[in-house]
Amino acid sequence: MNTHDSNATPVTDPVDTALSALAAPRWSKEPDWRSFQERLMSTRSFGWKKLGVLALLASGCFAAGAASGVAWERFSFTGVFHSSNGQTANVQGEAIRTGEGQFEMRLNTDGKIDASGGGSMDITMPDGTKAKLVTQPLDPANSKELTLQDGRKVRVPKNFTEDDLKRLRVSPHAK
Amino acid sequence: MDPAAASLNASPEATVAPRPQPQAFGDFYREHYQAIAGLIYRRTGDTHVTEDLTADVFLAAYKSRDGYRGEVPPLVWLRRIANNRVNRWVRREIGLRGILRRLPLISAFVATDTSALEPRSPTLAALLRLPIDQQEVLSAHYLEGLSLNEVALMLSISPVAAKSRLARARDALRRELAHRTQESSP
Repeated sequence: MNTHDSNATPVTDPVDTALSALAAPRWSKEPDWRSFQERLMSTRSFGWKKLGVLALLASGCFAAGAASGVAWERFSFTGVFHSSNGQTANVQGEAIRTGEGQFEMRLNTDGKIDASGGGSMDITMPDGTKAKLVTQPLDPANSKELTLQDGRKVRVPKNFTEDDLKRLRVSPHAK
Repeated sequence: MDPAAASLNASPEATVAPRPQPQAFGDFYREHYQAIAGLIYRRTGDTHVTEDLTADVFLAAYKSRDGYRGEVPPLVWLRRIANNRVNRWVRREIGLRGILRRLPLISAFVATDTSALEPRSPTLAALLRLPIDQQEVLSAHYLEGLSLNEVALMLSISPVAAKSRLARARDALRRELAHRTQESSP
């Protein structure tokens, strides 16, 4: 006589049932990089100097004369620099007037970026107006690469002087 | 010409090493976000906690990225950070519940219903009552689907130890579930 009950329900371990239930939930929200990036920036407002591993020193002249309705000798700004090759970097910058229609601009970024192809960023001028800072592509034939003592490499125009290099605040040696 | 336009005639290139670019970290964030947020959500059962802790995990990863030498895959490294954050959260939550239960006078006026602090799922509540190391191993193996070897790697223990811990955790969960069933039955 066959005593096997083919209709017997398999016994399920309650622990397995519980663990299956715990494994079921799925996280459906998409990553929001922009929002995270803002949070990242807000948590290190005083960490810029430590994290500022790149110093770009650019000199030039105002193409449009006074770009602000307020006279200024120097001012600082922050923003996102967009290079022409699609890279972006968070930038803390400072503009310093050096003469009639002349100024220097120092841009500190929190990472590596190749700005040799030029790029732009929106900045706020001292009078509160918005301005677009545009950098022109660097001519490879008229530039040189320097390796700084801490290993960083900086490409600069050929006419970059020793005084210009001193402003990078690290001792360079030409490659 | 737009008076609000400034133009520079020089645009030096500069490179640094080895710190990752923000853009590279963005790709890293997008690649691993779902895995980490999912892990945290399954352990906490709370949307807001998950969003906060996930952001904390990636912030911690960003800040300590120079210390990551690739000894373990990036996701394992992130899971370790996530586990630490969740464990800290669990300890704080369990501690808060305990305090409120021990202070009936205060809880009568301030938080009359401590069940508001309980996870909505009784099964999750049972899991959160287990010792932290047992929660970790159950979560990694059954909730995240990691093999014993992967669990061992993430928890920095041997596979044998992982197997043993898993068996103890299953027993503990079984007891906790039975205990809760008894409590809820009339």
